[in-house]
Amino acid sequence: MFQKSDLDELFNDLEGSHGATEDYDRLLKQTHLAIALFDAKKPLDDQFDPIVVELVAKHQPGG
Amino acid sequence: MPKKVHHVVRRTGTRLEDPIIEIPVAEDIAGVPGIPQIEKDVSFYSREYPLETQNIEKAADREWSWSVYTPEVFEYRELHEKANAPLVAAAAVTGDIEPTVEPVGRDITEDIRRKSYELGFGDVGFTRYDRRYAFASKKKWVKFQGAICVALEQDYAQTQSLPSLEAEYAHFGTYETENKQCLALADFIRSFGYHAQVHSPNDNSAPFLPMFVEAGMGQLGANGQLLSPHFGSRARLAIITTDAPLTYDDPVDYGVQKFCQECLVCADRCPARAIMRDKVWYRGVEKNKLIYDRCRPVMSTYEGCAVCMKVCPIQRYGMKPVMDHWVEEGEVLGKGTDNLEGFSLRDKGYFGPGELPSFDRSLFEFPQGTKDEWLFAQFKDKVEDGDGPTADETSAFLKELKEILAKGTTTIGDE
Repeated sequence: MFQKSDLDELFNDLEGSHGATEDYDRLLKQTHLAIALFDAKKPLDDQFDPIVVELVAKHQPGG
Repeated sequence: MPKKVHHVVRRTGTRLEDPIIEIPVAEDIAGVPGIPQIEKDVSFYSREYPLETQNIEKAADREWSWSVYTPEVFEYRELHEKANAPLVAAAAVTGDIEPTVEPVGRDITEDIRRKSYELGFGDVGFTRYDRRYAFASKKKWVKFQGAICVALEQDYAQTQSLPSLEAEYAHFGTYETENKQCLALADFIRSFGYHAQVHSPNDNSAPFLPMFVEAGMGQLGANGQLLSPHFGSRARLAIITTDAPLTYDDPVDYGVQKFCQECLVCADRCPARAIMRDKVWYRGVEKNKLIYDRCRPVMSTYEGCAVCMKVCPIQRYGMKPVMDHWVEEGEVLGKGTDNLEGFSLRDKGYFGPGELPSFDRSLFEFPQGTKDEWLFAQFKDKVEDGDGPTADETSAFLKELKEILAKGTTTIGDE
């Protein structure tokens, strides 16, 4: 399960790379949902942006 | 094993071109469309104990709030009030503006719906303006029967930073935008030959939420906020009333009434412990009643707080994924995780699931009631205190009372 430190790193990463883009809101929404599904041990389907999938994989606990 | 689906709610998206969204409501959380209520009780309380805006009833703490803001919040609120005042003033007189053309003589519901989306609203619904909810001070102000309920989404990213100054920008900035959009929509309605009265989100004529529920735009969450299928509790609400012919929408059962009782993350995470876990019947409606005297001081002191908004899974993830997950897994998506439940409070630090801040008792000692009621209460304490008030104290009391009475009351402010 994502802990605060994992979340801080992930969201800092997302903000740094996409915070100034028009896509940020959409990516942030998807990222929160992706984390919730990861925490619930559910797979991410192909509706998720590859950027989000990559971020979650990069910062996932024990990843 | 997936739960049995009782019904599926189909809603248009937040833009005209968006696809329909389908929200499954599991059998175990199916309730009634809208909200459980006893009509005769709603009517009785409305007649005998009409509602009044908090800007009047709670004027003493409204004024006090400014004394506990951080300098940054204080400065921003001043800027917001200045920017918003002309918009609120413009809305107040819209009911008196005469259309300049003859009425088109047909139902204009779909015209208004299209225009609402064009203006940027994320959802719109139609219902009868329920005068039982009108504030005592506004009952005579409300002119028309048809209510157009418009919802504007508060910025997602800023909202997730709650409680923060950043989130306050989103909160009050959304109202500024919404006021402008409502004035434009009212102009549009008048172009069809009908009257349109803007009920500003910063000068409410009533609690708007019951009418949004009646219009099928969401249901009342345990956190006391409208849980919209599109934005959860990030929906900022305004109403325009009109004499134009409209087709009213019906209330919807999104499963929120029972889902919230399964979730209760807002109640568990409220820093002020202000949300009741058990529902009560209040003024004819079944709800999780908020304890105002616990909420208000924390909200005022900590940048608007709104942790209850932030930690709502329907706000954070959207109603569809949350209801899908409930059907598939029988779990509240995100419950018990840092991602959903974690929050930070200024000077207090981070609080993960199961952790809550504690506050000094003095935080909850704040002015009560109207300004004159609070002044009388303080003076009464002096009268009861041994030697009674001095001549100077009595004189000061009278001077302040005169000032309060001369200033009068205002309905303007956040509800």
